[in-house]
Amino acid sequence: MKSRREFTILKIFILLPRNKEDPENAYLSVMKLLIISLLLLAIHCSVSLAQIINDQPLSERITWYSIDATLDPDEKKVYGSMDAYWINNSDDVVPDVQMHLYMNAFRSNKTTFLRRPGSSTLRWQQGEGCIDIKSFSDRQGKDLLGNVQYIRPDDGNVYDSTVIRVMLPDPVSPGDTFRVKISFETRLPLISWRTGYNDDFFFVAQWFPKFGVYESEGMRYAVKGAWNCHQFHKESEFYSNHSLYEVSITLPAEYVAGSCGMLMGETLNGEGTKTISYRAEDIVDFAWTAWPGYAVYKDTWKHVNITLLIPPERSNQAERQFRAVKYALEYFDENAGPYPWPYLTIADPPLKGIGAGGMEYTTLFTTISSYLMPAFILTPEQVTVHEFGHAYFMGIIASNEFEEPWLDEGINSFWEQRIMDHYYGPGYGFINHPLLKIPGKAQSRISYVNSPLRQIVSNAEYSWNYPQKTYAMMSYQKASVIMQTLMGIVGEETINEIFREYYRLWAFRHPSGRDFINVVNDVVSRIHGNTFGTDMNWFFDQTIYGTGICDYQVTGITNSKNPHPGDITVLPDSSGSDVSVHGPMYTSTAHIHRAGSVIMPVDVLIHFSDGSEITEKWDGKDRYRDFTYSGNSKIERVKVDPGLKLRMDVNFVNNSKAIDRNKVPVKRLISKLNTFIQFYLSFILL
Amino acid sequence: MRIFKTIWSGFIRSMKTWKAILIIWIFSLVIVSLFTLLIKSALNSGFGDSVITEVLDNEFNPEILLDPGSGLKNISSYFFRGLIFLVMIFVPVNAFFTAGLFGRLRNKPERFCTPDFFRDGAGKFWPFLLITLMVTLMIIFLLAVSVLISAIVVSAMENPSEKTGFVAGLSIMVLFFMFLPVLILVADYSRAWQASSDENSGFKALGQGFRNTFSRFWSSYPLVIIFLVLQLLLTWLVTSTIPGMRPTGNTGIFFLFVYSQLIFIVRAFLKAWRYASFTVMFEQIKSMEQLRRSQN
Repeated sequence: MKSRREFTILKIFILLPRNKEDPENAYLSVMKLLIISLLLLAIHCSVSLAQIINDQPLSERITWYSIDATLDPDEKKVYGSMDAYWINNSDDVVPDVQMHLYMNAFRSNKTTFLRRPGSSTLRWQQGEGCIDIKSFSDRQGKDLLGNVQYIRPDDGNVYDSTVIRVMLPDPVSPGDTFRVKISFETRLPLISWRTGYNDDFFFVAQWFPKFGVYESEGMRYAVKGAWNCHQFHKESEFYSNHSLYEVSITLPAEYVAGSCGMLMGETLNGEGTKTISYRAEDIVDFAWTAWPGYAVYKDTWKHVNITLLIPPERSNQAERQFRAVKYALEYFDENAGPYPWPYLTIADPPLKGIGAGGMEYTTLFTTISSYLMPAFILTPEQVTVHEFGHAYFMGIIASNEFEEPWLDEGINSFWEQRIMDHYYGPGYGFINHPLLKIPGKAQSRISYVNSPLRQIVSNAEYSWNYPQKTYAMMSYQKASVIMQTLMGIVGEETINEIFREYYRLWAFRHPSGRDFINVVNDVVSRIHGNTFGTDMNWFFDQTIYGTGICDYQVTGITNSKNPHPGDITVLPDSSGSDVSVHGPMYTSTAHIHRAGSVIMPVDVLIHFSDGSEITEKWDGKDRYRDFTYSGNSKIERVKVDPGLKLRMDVNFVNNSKAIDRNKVPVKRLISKLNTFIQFYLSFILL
Repeated sequence: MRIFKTIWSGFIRSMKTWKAILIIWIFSLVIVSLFTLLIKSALNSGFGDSVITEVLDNEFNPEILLDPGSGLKNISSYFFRGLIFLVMIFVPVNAFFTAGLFGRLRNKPERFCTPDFFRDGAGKFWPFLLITLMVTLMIIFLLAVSVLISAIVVSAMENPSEKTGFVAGLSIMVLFFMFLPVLILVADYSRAWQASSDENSGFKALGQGFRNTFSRFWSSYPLVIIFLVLQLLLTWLVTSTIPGMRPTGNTGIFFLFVYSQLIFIVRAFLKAWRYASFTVMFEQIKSMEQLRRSQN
């Protein structure tokens, strides 16, 4: 892995003019350029590369953005001037660069984003939401605006202009740096989908031209080097390199702002404006918010300074938000890896900015709360924990959200539910009321098992390709249930070890689903040997990459009384003498059926009338299995997967059977129901 | 002081109608049980021989009740439809029993006579049904107007904050809940008048209800508030105790049943007490009017 410093030095020599015909002039040119370059390098190192936030770079930082932005709150525009570079850390000579212009998703109602079914509900207005490139030049000041062309790599939609390709006059050689100066004008849309404005509230995300990710051969699924730069889809998120951001924002002085960056300074400019400078290291995106009405609360967790921007009337909710995020910090720190930045900003948008709620930008995330949210409804905490979790799954471990959404949304939902159920209730991380208790993890399973489309497609789809609005169910809920099932099989501590290893290997890199599975295989075989087979591919092939359902059921119990139980059987013992024993009283059988196509190893618990229990291990492969016993007691109850660990199982009710079921719970439920209906009727009738 | 005298006389009268309260309780129990027993059968059929019901030991578990293929999912829609059906049954039956109860609460009979209770119920059924429906419609209308006013007030504000929106909504809902007892007073006085009148006219009774409500408003309003508070306390008792009860055997279930039904009987008695107190109050108004008329 080359360091960024090495790349900068490399680029100087690679860019030297090569005048073979006049060696003397060439020598002078070389010397001049060398001196200039060294000076530039020194300045650059002192400003850009200084380790201001962390002692060491956390990532390769192959991209860098320095942006001067000015917010015009009346025009709802951001005027930006951007200096950025991308370092070619591949072995390829790259002839072009590709960049996202996400904001153009709102340019017309025919864009790929807005023509997606369901987008008509967005409060989109003609002429709102677009980004115009005003100038585009390389390091030498050469105008490349004419080279900018819109491309549509995903669907060929001619009305979509969310990706540009710029053919470079000089291809970027391995180790070389492409540096660009862009001035742009971003007109914000009325907020409805993560970004935009409403009145004087601004949430500014996906607002500047942003490099795609150049994937060299062997990186994730790339068979040859190419840009990975997808269009902006409604049902998709993002994919970016870890970058260095230096952003200055000029805005009216009365605005309270927050961003992904660490505050470096704030200066009043006169004429009622101020300029706020931020710096962010090793994050994948830069977003910011500004609203005059924000109240600012601060708290700390270990090395992390937490800032909460919240409408003043929701100050009663601040403590809930801080507690939730501290729980999440603690849990991730213990079970995955450290949160490496010394700051974190939470924005809780006001009602008019609710469209920005529930979104993640690594060191800044938005949550959703309400002035009157009762304490037993844990939705605000849930959103906070979820969005914070993306600092790990997408922020630190930067998977491709366009192509493998289960890697961020699914895994992150799994973590969110674990954290909520661990700290709240405990065990009831969604609703925790004496009359109704719902675990966090139950939400995903209810959604997945009750979806009539649960088998429509596997999770090996690009996010926008999930048919019939199944993106959320498949990426969040099904994937989360899959992870819960994996934890049920390998155990909680093994799962934690998997994620510690995943963090160790892939932090500040771009893993694919296969990379994650390889980590699972390594850790599981290290801890459990061949208990679950040579690897865990069988699990992921059936779940993530398969469409089958899991359903184990107990189909019956038979207890046959032996006709002559008292008969004496004579058996020779080890000494050769005969030993007399009484024949067994019963022959009992538990009948188990695998009704789904998904095969999982499963425990079967047999409970006998004398109180004894046997737990059988079954590989679950056959369509059915009978467990037969002879003895003096009958089988009373049978449970397949007694701990309900296979949470993919679509029907928990058929997982067990009893000869004489305990009917008390239903009687109790009915008795209570009776009373409540009597009371309810008496109440509404005068 | 007069209020407490009225309450005491109401208490004595309502105690004398204990048989009517028991009849109302038994009817309520039987009809609701017919419905819940069907739910119970559906649950038993959905669970089959499964021991997953052990999970219900701890809580109402939507994850289990919503499992597809278990046959339990349909119970929720059946439940809500059944509830509407129950309301449709209970509205006329309640009118019948209330008519009987108001008839027996008048200061005539010293002993409760069950046939008279049913005769009064049958004889005054239609005006009592009309009074119930009309006052219920008035309450629904009042609620709709309150919600509408809240929405108008909030939308008229420029950039309302959540708090101001909430405060505006809350203020209007407080007004609603302050006005709701007035409609209950109207209903009670209308029924008291109808019970004492030989004429069967629901609309006339409503008119008399409004008239009596406002003629003795300042003594009637605190009275109805006292009864509403008592009923709310009882509701609080139910919601705070019964959900937490988790008997694990049939004996425990029996005691849960007895406890919850006793509370319901108390609830029915409180209602009868309220009716009796307003009947007493109505009779006081009537005698004062007669006195005034005779003096004139």
